[in-house]
Amino acid sequence: MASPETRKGRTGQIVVAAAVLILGILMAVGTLQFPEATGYAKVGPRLMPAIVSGALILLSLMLLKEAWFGGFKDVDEEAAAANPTNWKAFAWISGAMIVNGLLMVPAGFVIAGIVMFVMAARGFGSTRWLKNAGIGAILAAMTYAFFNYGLGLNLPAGLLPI
Amino acid sequence: MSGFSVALTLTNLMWCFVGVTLGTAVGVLPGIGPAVTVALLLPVTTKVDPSGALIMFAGIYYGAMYGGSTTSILLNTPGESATIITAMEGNQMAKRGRAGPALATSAIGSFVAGTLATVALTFVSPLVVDVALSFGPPEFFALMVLAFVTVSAVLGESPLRGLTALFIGLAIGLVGIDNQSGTARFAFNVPQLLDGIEVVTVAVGLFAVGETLWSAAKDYKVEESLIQMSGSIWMKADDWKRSIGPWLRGTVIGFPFGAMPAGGAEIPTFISYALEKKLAKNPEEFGHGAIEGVAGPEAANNASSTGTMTSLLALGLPTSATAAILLAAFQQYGLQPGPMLFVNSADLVWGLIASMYIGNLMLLVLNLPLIGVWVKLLKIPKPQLYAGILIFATLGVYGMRQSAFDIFLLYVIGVLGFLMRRFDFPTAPVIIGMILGPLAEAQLRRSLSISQGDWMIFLQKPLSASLLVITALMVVGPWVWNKLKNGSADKNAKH
Repeated sequence: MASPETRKGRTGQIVVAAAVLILGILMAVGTLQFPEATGYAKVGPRLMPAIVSGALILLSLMLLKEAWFGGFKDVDEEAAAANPTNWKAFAWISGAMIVNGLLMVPAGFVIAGIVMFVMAARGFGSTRWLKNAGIGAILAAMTYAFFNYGLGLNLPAGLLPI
Repeated sequence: MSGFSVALTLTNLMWCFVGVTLGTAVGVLPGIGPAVTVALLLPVTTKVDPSGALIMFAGIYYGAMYGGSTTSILLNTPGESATIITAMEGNQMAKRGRAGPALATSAIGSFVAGTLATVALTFVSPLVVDVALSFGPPEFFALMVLAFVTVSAVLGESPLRGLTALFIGLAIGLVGIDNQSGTARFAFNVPQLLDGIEVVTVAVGLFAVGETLWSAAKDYKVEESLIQMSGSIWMKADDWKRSIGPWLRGTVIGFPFGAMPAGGAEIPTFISYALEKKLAKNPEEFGHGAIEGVAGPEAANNASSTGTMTSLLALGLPTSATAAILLAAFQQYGLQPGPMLFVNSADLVWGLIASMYIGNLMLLVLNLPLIGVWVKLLKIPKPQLYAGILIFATLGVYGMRQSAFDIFLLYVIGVLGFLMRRFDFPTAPVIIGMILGPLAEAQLRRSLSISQGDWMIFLQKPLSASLLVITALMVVGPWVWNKLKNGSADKNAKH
């Protein structure tokens, strides 16, 4: 059995297993709100969610046990620790997508695309803002034209008179 | 034969060509495997008629596979586990200045395997359909359980994490209004969730967005080295002689694996590699760029994924992430793959199968000479490459339902994909679970209403009973085997 010191490196695994457990429990609670099966069929909308939530709870407990005693099978936590997550890059990419979602309808596909392109490229360390904005503009405009006019897909024009 | 009259119309040939070209162009991008390529390009076909769209998908599928092996060989970044071997051996060849022959043997091998496997598919599927027409709900449900378990528990590294991924997929598949009773499940009164979650959002989120987050936050230290293409791309007489055997053996190994409702194109590629190494005159060349080690596994991979189409079309059972997304493409048109599709929409099915022959040929004739163009796509620097991938990802996802909500959902699923990669959970079972889950639930409920709630129905039917026994053996078997082995090892240690 692993000693407490080595368990320290596996906090992440324990959190993951706990998250699956919480998901399972929440689903089980939700399942109880569904109406019971009625009439001839004997089975209703409850059955499958009950099976899935039950399985998730069971699997999460097994994952928790693995994480607690020795760690997930074949997951090398030392290698993971040697390659720390670049949270700043992660945040730039996250911001890029969230801003895109916020801008999509009011500002339109092309503008939302340009902003996302510049922010995502920044996440990968590129600070040539103008050049990236230009590339993003060409790419977004071309996709917009192709899908909107060529294929009849309804993309938002937003602020641009296109 | 009637299929060719559908596939050979000028419009459908054009769709096939567009599909092959788009598929290759997207598939060649690093980190984008066939499954995401198909998912990203799904919205492109929304305005095309069903047979044209599905024919285009056959093209996209082949193009994506071909683009994927190109990336594997030149960058050593396999887009999916089935191309790991190609990446390893092909990259070695490329390092020794033999990138051209490596790409050629994988392209021609894919063509040979794809064509032969499509012939097998043409003859095997009607047989499977004949059997499957006699299946009732209990048999279908048992078959789905078997597919679930093999795909998630038997084939991966950790059955526990594979099954967890599967059940997360099943949970995602439950979101929305229940078709049979009209109950809203896990939708939290969010209107966008009442319609359920699109498989495209999940696939693009898990693979493309997850990959982007991973590449930015974890791979920042790794410098990928693109190998320059030099010399002729054509194979010499000796290369041909050494490739033909592996192509044919790879096909024979690959097709049955794919056609079984169990999935997993990795295993036949490993078997083919091991076999070729055994048969080779100079096995010491393996691991340092032996052409047989590219030709065999690549053929096995292609034959196996063509085999997957057998289960998808004849049984309605997707056993790979790509097949699951193709199933979603069918559903978009209100079509349900399975034995009834052969009965009701024979024209469409045979048109699709015919276009698989054509797509394969088109890929070889039109794309092989274009290899230099595709390689240029690999020279796009990382920041612009991934930023561009995100634009296509949001386009694909927004285009499905015109809802900005889906973009936030896409991001959340991308984070899930990042975490799953960090903790080594397989992602394909999520896709298969979410798409096959609602179908399995329907069969389960149908079975139980036939039996008036008696679960014994699954054991009373001989076929469903044996399928369930096989499933149970696959889950419990390895565990018991390990216990026994460890038990005897302990005993030996005491002596």
